[in-house]
Amino acid sequence: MSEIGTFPHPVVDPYSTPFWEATRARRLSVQQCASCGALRFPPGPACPHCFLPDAVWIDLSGRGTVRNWVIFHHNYFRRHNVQVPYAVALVELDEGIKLFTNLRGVEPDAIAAGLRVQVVFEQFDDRFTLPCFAPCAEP
Amino acid sequence: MPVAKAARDVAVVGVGTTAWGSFPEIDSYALGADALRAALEDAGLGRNDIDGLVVSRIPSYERFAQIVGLDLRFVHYAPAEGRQSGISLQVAVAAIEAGLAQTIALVYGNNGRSRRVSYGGEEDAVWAPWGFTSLGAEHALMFRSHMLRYGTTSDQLAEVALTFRQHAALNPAAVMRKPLDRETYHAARFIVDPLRLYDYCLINDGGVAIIVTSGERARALMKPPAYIRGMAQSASLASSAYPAEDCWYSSLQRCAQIVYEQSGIARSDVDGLMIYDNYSPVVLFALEGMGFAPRGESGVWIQGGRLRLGGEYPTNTNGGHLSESYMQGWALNVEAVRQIRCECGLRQIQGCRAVQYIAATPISTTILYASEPS
Ligand SMILES: [Zn+2]
Repeated sequence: MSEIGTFPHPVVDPYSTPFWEATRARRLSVQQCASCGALRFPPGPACPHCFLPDAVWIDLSGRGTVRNWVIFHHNYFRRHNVQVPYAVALVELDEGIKLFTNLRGVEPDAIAAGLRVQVVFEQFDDRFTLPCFAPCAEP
Repeated sequence: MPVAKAARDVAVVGVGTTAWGSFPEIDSYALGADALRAALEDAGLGRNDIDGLVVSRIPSYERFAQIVGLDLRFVHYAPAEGRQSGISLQVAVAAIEAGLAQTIALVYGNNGRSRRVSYGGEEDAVWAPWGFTSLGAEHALMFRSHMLRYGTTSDQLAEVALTFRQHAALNPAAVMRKPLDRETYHAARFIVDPLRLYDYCLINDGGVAIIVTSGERARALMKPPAYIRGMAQSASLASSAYPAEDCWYSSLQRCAQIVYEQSGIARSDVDGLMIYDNYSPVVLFALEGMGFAPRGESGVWIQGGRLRLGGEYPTNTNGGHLSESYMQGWALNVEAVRQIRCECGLRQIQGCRAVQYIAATPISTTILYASEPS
């Protein structure tokens, strides 16, 4: 598996700053529309459901389910020393938000749809903490 | 459901292609200019006959117009995305129908091989910190969901790459003409599992030009017109932060509802298909969304030579992006025209009267070409 830190670091825009601040505090946080209550991710300036702008940030449970995954055998990041193969999973959090992420504690060939996972926070560098996921026993 | 007006009377009257390959000594302007020269000659038209220009992928339409010296009253520019070929052709047809131009040249130039373009690895993308990158990976993920949901297998998928390679062997211009067998396909390295090398398109240089005009003008020209009888577009951009969960099924269904009614051509009357194939699974998605294969059954449906020359729906008879040339849909539209004109030699579809182009992407498009007017 690849070492954390070998991928490009996150690029922060005005909307994603609170997300990355929250992960440093080991919280998984997303925008919730202040008008209709819909959650949205990636962060943005308006609600795709009701199109109103205001949002609050709420913490998620951090629990979710692996829906899909792929295994990279090619390193596209030419400037980075990425070890292949590595897996990327699509995790659907219990609140419905989906994240592409890396799994810990499970070999790529043991990944399966339906696997229950829990967020684990990993230090990326001095500035960023990255949410990854690990299998959890709880249903 | 807005169904566009029936009885279109617009046709392709000229097509031009360069050789496909690696041409580091020239750039996409030269490739586009060479293709345009070939298309004008093919149509029997001069530059004075062109009053509209659509440019795609070539970095500057302005510089290109300087180079080719056209006097224009309609110009449109489309960026270097495969979805833009179908969209551009639709824009050209609409512009002619609206009277904005009489005869439009669409020109595409791609020197991605010489420039060593990589399709993936953008460092500022949302998911890059977790290593998720490339359109190929998105297609790998969509194919995995098709496998999980419907039991589709890699061995079924192999039929796409094997079919198009067989067709490319009949096309003297194709980049990859060496026979490909099932064993070699499966033995190839993974790029992004579950997709292997031969599920990925080529990257090569080349240029394409297509000339479109009214049916009335078309009937006065040398070559048999390829009438654009129907076209449709449907976007699924609102959910495109993630790979399409339904493999663009609903958006393609909307296109299907429009294009057959508008053209007056039934699905069963289509003689050949040109399906945008940047990655092999997208051919399955297009066949299901457009209603050729039952939903979820495309893996089984394509077996037995259905997509091969002599089969029910010969598809990508030039070899497609997988084996002929990666011209982002443009060369597939040229092949549709050449099939309609019966110019395809060994790979000619017998009695070809209707060919459908289908691109399954976040903006799906389809164009139905026919030898007869509406
Ligand atoms: Zn809202």
